[in-house]
Amino acid sequence: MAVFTLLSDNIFYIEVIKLGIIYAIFVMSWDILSGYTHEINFGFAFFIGGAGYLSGILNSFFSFSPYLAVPLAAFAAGVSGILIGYLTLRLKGPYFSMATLAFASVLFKLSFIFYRVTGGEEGISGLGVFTDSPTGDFFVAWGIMVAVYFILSLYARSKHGIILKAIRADEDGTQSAGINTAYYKIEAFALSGFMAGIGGGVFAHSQMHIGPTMLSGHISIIVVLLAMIGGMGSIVGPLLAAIGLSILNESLRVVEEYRIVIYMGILILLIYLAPDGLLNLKVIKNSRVLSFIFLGDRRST
Amino acid sequence: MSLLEVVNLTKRFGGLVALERISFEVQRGEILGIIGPNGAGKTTLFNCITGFLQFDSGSVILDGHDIAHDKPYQIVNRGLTRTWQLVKPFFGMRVMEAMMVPTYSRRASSRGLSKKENEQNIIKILEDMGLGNKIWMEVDSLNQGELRLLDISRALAAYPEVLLLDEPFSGLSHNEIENISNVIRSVNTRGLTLVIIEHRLRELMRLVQKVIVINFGQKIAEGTPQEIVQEPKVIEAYLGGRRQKFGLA
Amino acid sequence: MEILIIGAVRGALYSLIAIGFVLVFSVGGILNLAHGTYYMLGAYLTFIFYTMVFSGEGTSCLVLSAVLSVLSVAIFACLIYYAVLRPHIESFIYVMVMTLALALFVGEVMSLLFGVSGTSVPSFVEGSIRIGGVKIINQQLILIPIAGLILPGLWYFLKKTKMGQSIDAVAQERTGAILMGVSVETATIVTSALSAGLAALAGALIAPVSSVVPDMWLFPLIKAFAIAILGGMGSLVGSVVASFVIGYAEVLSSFLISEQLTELVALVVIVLVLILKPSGIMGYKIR
Repeated sequence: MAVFTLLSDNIFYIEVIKLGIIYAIFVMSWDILSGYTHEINFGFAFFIGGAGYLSGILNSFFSFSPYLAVPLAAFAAGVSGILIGYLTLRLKGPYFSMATLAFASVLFKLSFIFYRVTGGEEGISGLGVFTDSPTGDFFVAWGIMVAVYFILSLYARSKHGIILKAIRADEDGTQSAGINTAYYKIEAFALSGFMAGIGGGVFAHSQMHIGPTMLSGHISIIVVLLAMIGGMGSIVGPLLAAIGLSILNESLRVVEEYRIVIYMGILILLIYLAPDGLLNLKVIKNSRVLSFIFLGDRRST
Repeated sequence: MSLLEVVNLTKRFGGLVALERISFEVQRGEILGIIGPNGAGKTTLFNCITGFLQFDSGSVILDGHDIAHDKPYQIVNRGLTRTWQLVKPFFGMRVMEAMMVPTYSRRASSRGLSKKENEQNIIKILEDMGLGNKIWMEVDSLNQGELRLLDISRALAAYPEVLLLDEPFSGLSHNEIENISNVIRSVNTRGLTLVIIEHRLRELMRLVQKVIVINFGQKIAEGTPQEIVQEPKVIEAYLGGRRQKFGLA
Repeated sequence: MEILIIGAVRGALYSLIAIGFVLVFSVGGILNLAHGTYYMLGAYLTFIFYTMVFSGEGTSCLVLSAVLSVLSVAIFACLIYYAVLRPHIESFIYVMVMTLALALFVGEVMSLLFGVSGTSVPSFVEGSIRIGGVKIINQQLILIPIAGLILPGLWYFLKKTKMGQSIDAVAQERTGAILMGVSVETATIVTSALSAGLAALAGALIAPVSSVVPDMWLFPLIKAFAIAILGGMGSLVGSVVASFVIGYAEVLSSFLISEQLTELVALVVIVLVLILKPSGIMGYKIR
């Protein structure tokens, strides 16, 4: 993909794929928590938009360079992940989901209440960029996405991921194996928030603008849909789904008026047809080769 | 000093007294049996001891430590593990993966074993339990009996000093029970202390040195297997007054 | 005094919305996150029927539009249940995600058709009256008697009629109801339609005096959820009480602190209740 963009100096393609890459960061970050614990976080806009706005504020009001503002904002997102993770510890299923939705909605409302700082409907514009060229920015985003992918994949395949899966299966059983489940849940939440924050910050500075859409239920649900379509709990599934579908989204610009509606319609249809995600389709699960490549499944003996 | 001591444990659910001043001791290396009719409170007792339920009064002392306020995982890390009456398997994972979880506990990881060594230990446990050929299979593909064996294996994988087994023989074939009994004897020989709740008295009595009997939340008898089966109160609890001898093989 | 009445109006409005939400959850085990959409459609469809079918002539047409809108939404709810939810209803993750996605989707469709700035619907009853020295808009006021009629009517339906009793049975003890020969399927469909209809009615009634915008589905949904967990997911009486509690809390906070905080009230309730009592206040059964 990097090769492709080197060859093509068409700005449009670069921007489209860059957007897809950023969405991939969002979706992978979501997956590392919700994909593994199966507790569906409906308030991911909290981290994405929250960090985006924070980074934007640091940049436009305090003149922090994006290279500094984004990590700081991500750090704040990670810390809020710890907080929210702690508060939602004992919540399960719909209660967890609605609580996360509530948190994000609070932040959404607050951004309008404090419009002097956040620019209300308009958001904040004129944010600083990473490099002087679109291609440069693209590689920054690309590099970050690859880093996020490797970090999250390693995390998922490590004991952390296995413990999250065990918690998903049976939290009591996991406790009775001597594991401090609260710690691992909060840790995953913090990581998820931090990575999403990175994504949110990168988004803000690559668009040079951050607006309330990134705090809305809209982005939260799109992230959930993309992750589910890709296949929860695989990191790579959400990655591919995000990039692929974002490209689809942009290519629908030809019918700009209907774009959102068509895009959402397609997403809904895909969930309907493959509720477990495309990666979990029988086709892939039954093939040893595909299973190994996509799911990291080793089947010895 | 006894390894596990339960003193006057009382647990109420609203107005219902589930456990009333239960007291007993377990010595290091002992195998204790807990029997009693259904609903007597045996599993509740386990839940209280292992930290899954808060109890109202009394104390639980493990190796000199009062564990009344410890969280379940902390109690496991102190060396007391348990199995479940209704198995709690890790569906959605492979058996080997599921068995790696206990090795991530503080207790197990503090042994400083490498991943390879952990894997070998796990394989040994699984083979002893008769699950050697299931190591790379999905937990979802195991039958009820195998899940129970897995439950026990998981409890063994955390290097416990005391193991509480809640109806380990339930749902198993005669061979499987024989198998587990052998495993129990063998780990006991190597120093593991066990407390076993069971309904299958014949098989249980062959394993234990001491038995306590619980009915309606109270301890009504304590003694060797031979003493217990003759004890009128016990017979009455099970059969409601009719006399009958339990066979001891 | 104004607080008293406005609070009651809010409470009445919310109770119509929330009661359906709670019912569907108790009966069908469905957490329908598209519930707010029924409310929104009630408003929009009234507008559509009124302007397009009846060309905006007179109050009786307006009322008829509202009725048609309620019926349409009820049918829509049945369709949703059949086509979308039934195939994968065992997975509540699927239900939650799907209904939320649908809610967003319909919102975007409305945005496409009508734009972001909102449309206006004329009032059913014009004017306002003075009660205790305070001016109250009639359109808002009628919510109270309407709720006052419908809620007891609903209670009667559930307790006295055959259909209602079977719904009640499923809500309380599903397995038992099945064993008694109750068709859970029918009960769920009827409940879905009923609940959607109530929400739509609320939307239709409030449309003249409230902003009809494409994202008007989100906050009523959040409030319905807040009411549900406050009043108990399985308890209808609890929901009604909780509706008024939240209604009054909003009005009070708007008077005492700031207008802008009203929307936050429900959110704060959710967060507080879930944090302090994770198992809910009155308890419920998870399927």
